[in-house]
Amino acid sequence: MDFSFTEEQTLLQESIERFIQNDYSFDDRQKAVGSEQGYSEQNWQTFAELGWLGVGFSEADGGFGGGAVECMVMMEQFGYGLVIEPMLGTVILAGGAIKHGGSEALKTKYLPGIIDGSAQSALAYAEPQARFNLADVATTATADGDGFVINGHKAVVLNGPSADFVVVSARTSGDQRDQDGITLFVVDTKTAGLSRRDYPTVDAFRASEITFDNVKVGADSVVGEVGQGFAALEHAIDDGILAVGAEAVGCMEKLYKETVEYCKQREQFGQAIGKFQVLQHRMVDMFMEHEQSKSLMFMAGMRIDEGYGPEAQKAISAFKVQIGKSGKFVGQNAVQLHGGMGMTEELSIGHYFKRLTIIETLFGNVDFHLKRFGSL
Amino acid sequence: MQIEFSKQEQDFCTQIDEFIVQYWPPEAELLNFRGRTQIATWYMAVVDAGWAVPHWPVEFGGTQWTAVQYYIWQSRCMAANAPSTRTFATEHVGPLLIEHLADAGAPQSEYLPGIQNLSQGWCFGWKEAQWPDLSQHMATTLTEDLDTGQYVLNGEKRAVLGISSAQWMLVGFLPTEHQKEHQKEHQKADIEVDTDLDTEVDTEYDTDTEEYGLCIVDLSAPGVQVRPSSASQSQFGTVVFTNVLLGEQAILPISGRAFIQRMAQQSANSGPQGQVAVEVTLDIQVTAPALQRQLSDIQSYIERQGYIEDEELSRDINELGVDLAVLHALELRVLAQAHSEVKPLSPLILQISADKISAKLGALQIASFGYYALPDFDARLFDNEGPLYPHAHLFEQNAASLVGQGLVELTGAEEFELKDALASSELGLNDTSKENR
Repeated sequence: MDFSFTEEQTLLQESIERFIQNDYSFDDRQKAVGSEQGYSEQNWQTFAELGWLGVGFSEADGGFGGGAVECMVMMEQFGYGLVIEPMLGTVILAGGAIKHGGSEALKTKYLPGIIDGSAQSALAYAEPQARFNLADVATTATADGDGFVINGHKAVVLNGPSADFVVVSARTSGDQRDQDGITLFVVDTKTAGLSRRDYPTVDAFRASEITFDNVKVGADSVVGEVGQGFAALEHAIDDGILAVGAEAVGCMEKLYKETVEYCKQREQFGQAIGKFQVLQHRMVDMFMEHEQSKSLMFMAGMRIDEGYGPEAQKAISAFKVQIGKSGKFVGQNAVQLHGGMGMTEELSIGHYFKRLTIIETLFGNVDFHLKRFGSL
Repeated sequence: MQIEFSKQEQDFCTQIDEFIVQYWPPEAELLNFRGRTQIATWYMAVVDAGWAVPHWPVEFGGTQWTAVQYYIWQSRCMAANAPSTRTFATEHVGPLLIEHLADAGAPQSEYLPGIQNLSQGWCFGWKEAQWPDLSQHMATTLTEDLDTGQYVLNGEKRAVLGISSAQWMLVGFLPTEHQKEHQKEHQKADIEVDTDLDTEVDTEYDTDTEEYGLCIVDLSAPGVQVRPSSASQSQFGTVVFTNVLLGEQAILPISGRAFIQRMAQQSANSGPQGQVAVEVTLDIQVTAPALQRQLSDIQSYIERQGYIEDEELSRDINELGVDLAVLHALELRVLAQAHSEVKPLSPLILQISADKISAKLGALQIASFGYYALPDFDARLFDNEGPLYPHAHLFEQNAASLVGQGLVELTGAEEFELKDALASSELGLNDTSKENR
C-alpha cells in the first residue's frame, strides 16, 4: 500500500503547479474566458508541447502512458488554477471514449490530433429528457447502406462550440432506456445535417445544443461494436467524474487557503476575524472537507487503475457524492467568510464557487450517485 | 500509488483471518452478549499468541509489528466483531506504568501482568459532581496519615466508564503541598518531552491551573463503594472513596493533567513525530471496519424487516456508506503516510470524522428500530426476561448499543478542542482567547 506519487507523477504535478503559478494568473484566465473561443489557444498548444494532452493515453497511441492517477494529478492542479481550457471535453471525455472503445484504426485516426493539440472534440451523450441516465438515448442511428443515418438532439455538449468532431451516442436497437443497443459514433462537426447552438455555462465554459438531422456517417465511424457502446461511454464518464472531482479538490484547496489568508488579514472589532473561534472552526471544517475529498480521490484513482469494474465504479460514485457535498460546503463558506466581495467578478472566490456548483451537477448529482453507490 | 498490501502483508492477513476463524468463529457472535466464556477463550487465545499488547516494547510483551500489520490486526478483528484488546488498560495504563517504572522504583510493575494477559480491567476516575469543568477545584483529596505513613483517599467520582468490568482504577485527586513539590520535579520532564510535539496545549501546561495527582485504587479495597449507573448498558457508574488507605507505591509520579494530555496525544497520534509513551507510531486510530460492521448489521436488519423500501432510510444508509468510505480512505492515507516523507495528515481528522459517524449510526439505529428504540436494553432485564421483539436475535442487541454509543460520542464533547488544535496546527490560526469564544 502506497499513497505517494512516483517520480514521474511528482514531476507532472510540479510542472503544472509551476505553470499555474507563473503563467496562469486569474486575470489571464479571465481574458481567455472573454475571448471568442472562451479559452487560450496559446495555452492549449503549451499543454500539447508539455505532453499534458497525452497524459492519459498509452505510449502506443502516442501518449504519455499514464493512467487515472496521472489524470487525477493533472486535474487537481487545473482545479487549483481554475483552468478554463477544454481538457475535460476534448481529452478526458471524447478522447477517453475512443480510447476505451475504439478500434486501432479509429484511435490512429483521431487520438494523435487530440494529443498534439491540433484537434478539438467533445462527447455528445446527454439528452434533454435523460437527466443523468446515460442509457436514456432517444437519438437514433439507422443502418443505411454501408453506414448509418443519425437523427436526434444532444444537450449541453461540453466544448461543443470548438469541437472539430464529436463522439455521439445513438440508439441502434432496443428501447429508449436500454443499455444494450447504444452505439458510439465519431462525427465530423462539419457533416451536413449537424447544427449547433452555442452558449456559455455558468462557470464560463462553453457548450452546445447539437441537432442531428439525417446526418450520414460511414461504418468506419463506429466506436467499437454496434449496439455495445454503453460500456465505453460509462467508462469515459467515470473517468470524467474522477477528473472533475480532482478539479474540485484543487478548487477546494485554493478556496480554504484563500479564506484562511483573508481572515488573517481582515479586521473587525479591532482584531483579525481569524481570531474568532467560530470562524476558525468553520475554516477547520473547510479544511477537513478538502482532506476527506482528497483521500477519496486517491482511492478512486487507484481503484480505476487497478481495473475498471464495480469496485472502481463504487469508489467513483462515493467520490462524486463527497465532492458534491464538500464542494458546496467549502464554496458557500468561502463566499460567506469573504462577505460580499466573495461574489464579485474581480475576486476569484465566486468563480471557484461557480465551478464547484457546476461540478456538483455534472455527470450526476449527490442524489444520483448515492443511489448508484447503494446499488453497486 | 497502489492500494494493495505487499505479499508479506497479505500472508499476514491470511494468518490473522485463520486465527479469528479458529477462536472467534461467526457463531461466537451469537454468544457475544451472554457468552462470557467465549470472550474469555478469545482473550486467552490472543494472549497465548502473544498479540495482546502488540504496541508495547518487546521486553514487556510487544510484537514489533509494523504499522500496517497492526492495522491489519485491528481491522480484521473489528470486521469479525471480535472483542477488542485495545482497552484503557492496554492503551494508556500499561504504557504509563512502563514509562515510569524507573521513577517509581518499579513497585508498579506488579500491575503489568494483569494488563498484559487481559485478565484485569481498569477504569479512570476524573469527573466529579461538583466539578463540571476544569475551571473548578477537584474535591477528591489524598492526605497523609503521619502515624502509619499511608495515604488516605476521600471523595467521589462520577460518570466512570467501564466500571462494571474493572478491578483497578486510576483516580485523580487534589494533592497536598508536599505532593505538589514532588510533582513539579516530574512536570519539568513532562514539559521537556511535550515541547518536541510542538502543540499549543503543551506550551500552556500548568501555567494557571491547579495541579492534580494520580493514584491507583483497588476497587475491592475497604472504603471503596462502586455504584453502577441505572443505565448500566453504558457501563457508567459512580465510585465513592471513604478513608481508603493507599501505600506510597499507589501514587503515580505523573500529574493527572499530564496523563490526560498523553491520552489525547496518544489516541490522536500516528506520525513518526510522536515520541510520547511506547511504540505509539503503531497507534493509528482504526475505526472504519468496526463502524462498517455496525452499518452492515443495521442494513441487514432493515432488509429483514422490509424497511429498505423506505427512501429516507435507504438514503441514510447510503450516506453513511459514503462517510465510511471517506473514513476508510483517511485511515489508509494516514497509515501509508506514517513512514513516508510526506507531511502526514493530522489524525485529529480521523477522530472528528469517526465521532460524527458514530453519532449518525446511533441515529440511524433509532430511526430503523422505530418504537423499539425506546426500551432501555438493560443487561439484567435481558438476562431475566428475555429480549423484546424484534430484538430476539443477538445481533440486534449489539445494534441496540449503538444508541448508547452515539450518546457517548456526543458526551465526549471533544470536537471543539480538536478543532482548536487543527486550527492552530494545520491552518496557522492563533489560539482563540476566551473572549473570542
